[in-house]
Amino acid sequence: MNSEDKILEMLEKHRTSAPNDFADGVMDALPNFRKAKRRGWWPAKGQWIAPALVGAAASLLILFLSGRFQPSEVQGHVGFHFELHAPGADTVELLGTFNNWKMGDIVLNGPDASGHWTASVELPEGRHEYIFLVDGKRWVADPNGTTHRPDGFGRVNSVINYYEDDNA
Amino acid sequence: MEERTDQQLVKASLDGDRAAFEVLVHRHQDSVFGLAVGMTRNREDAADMAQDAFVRAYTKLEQYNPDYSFKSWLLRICANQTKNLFRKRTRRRETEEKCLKIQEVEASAEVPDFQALEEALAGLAPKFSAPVRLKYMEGLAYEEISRILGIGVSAAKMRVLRGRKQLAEILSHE
Repeated sequence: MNSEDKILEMLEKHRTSAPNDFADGVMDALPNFRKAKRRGWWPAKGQWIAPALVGAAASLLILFLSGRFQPSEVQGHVGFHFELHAPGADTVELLGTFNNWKMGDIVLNGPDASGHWTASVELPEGRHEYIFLVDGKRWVADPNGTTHRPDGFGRVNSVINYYEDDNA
Repeated sequence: MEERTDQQLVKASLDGDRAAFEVLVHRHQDSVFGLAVGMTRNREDAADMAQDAFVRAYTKLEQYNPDYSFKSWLLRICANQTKNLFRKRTRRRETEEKCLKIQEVEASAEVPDFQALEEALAGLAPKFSAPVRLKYMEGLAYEEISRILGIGVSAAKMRVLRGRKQLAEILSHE
């Protein structure tokens, strides 16, 4: 029992069991709103995509034909302010879906007296994932970001969902 | 019949199959409860936190990305819930009394050696216990642990190492 290897071996074999009635307690505590599959005129989850795409394409076509369509690079861009507190860093870069995760493309200015690095970037309407790269080796999710998402490579990206309708 | 994957069960749950979610609860309850015990050192709080984590996961199931591990997603929810609990308690200035209180660990039905191990784990500081549990009992990589607990990878490694040493020390005195 004294050997560290033996302890690790035991740890790997051991589970802390949940109380016997744990699963019943969870099931009792679940809300009922997902009890039955929704049936009605509104399409169920996932089934709205095709009609929505057809509708969107039709709307764009109408706008285009009526001459009111403007390409996205002309409309809908908004300046976003990015900031990271990294007082000891030499460089901080911003990589995201908006610059194809390209290193060296957006380098933040800083640090200021309080150790903050900043950059302002114009982003189009839509969903954008991004991450900071500190000193070319340390990946840092935006601590000010409200939404984060694992990228599947062991890191966590921050997410911006910017839609004009939401901000109208 | 072939066992359904987590992703298949999540999909079925989203389609209203409550029994599918129950399978997920049974499958992951020990992992989630184990992490909560590691963080709270209190079985009652741990059961509450683990239950809240499952309920929250159920209500947010649409947000789960099936490209990633369901268990890790669940553990992360549990870690966040537990941290929030601590924050709330800190605000009420009750944290230290409640969270540092080492509860008597219930007698385990397993072999006696595991009882000693469980007691030793309960004696570890929460900041060491949770990473040690995730590393060795859940078999997670340091990157995964760092994401679940919201700490850096090097901090996760350091805590696992120090937790291991403390654990060995506690067990050597028994």
